[in-house]
Amino acid sequence: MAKIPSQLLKGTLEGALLMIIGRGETYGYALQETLAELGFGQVPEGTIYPLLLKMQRNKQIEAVRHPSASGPDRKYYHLTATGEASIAEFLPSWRQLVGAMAQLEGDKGNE
Amino acid sequence: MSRELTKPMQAKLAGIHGVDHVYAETLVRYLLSFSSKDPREVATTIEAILDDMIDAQQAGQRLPDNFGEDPQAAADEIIAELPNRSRAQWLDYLWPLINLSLVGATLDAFWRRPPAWHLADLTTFALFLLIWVVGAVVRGGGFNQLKRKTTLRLGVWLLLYFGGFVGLAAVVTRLDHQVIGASVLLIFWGAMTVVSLVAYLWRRSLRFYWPVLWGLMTITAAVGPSLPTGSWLALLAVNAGWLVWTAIQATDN
Repeated sequence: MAKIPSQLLKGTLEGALLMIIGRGETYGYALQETLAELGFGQVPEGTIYPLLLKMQRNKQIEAVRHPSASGPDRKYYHLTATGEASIAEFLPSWRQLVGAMAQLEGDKGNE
Repeated sequence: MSRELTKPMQAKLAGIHGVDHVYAETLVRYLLSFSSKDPREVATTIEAILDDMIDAQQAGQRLPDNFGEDPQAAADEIIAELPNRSRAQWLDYLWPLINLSLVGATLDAFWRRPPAWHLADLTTFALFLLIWVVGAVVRGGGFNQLKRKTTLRLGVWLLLYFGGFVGLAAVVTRLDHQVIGASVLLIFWGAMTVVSLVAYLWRRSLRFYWPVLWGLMTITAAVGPSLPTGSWLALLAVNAGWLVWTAIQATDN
């Protein structure tokens, strides 16, 4: 699978992370793996962490420490009501963008 | 809170091997070097990153592939998102500097005959300030120090340091060679015992060894000379030992 340019990812990654966290409590490395499985490619942790901290600061997600399945305590993130509202705000914009791009692509195909 | 690697950090770092260990430790030390950030938030973020790095290594990934090829840029973004130190946390950070400077300057004054305060006593304060402030920046220098942000940060700290030193010197010059009564110094040390004890009771992170040190200094100076020589020397030895131990504990940050 081709690597998505980071500039293209930048605007959507926050929404994607919120949606993944919204599926259920998760942690940093699991988020990275899920992004890869979904087709976002290998997004560096160095890109994910500043976003997680920003989302925590904006109270979109909360972090709690508890034992992991594999052993010691680790930091898990879960979505807050503010985070849910952010997803609700993000999705229409995203759909509009996808629609616009699809239309542009269709127009190009019809030329 | 200490800005050295905590035990959980050391334990997690021990789980990362080879070249990746150097990568991880450099990143951790760089993140720890930002003294203006909330140390608890910095520590929990570092521990979470290390947990993920251990997972990545166990999955067979190289850390530069997992975390990023430009870790300093990522670390700068992480630091930008972390909250600043609170006022109480600044007090935690500066309390050892204040105490050690006052101990150094007044001890020096006390042993002069007659007790006097010299401009040279300012060097004690200047030395500790240099270790505290500039040392923090230098410790984070595992990454390319010539990067503009790091160089700028070091430059600002050095400017503040020399500016502060010159400013303080200008004020203190007027007080140079002031003869201070031994009784005044004793009262000051006694007052510092009370102040540091109240500070410790208010906030445990301000440490109990400060009131013990100030108390020992007060007792030694007050009753020491009237004791038999052996007891006087023993008391001095205890005092010196406690001072050295306290200085080691306090500078471990």
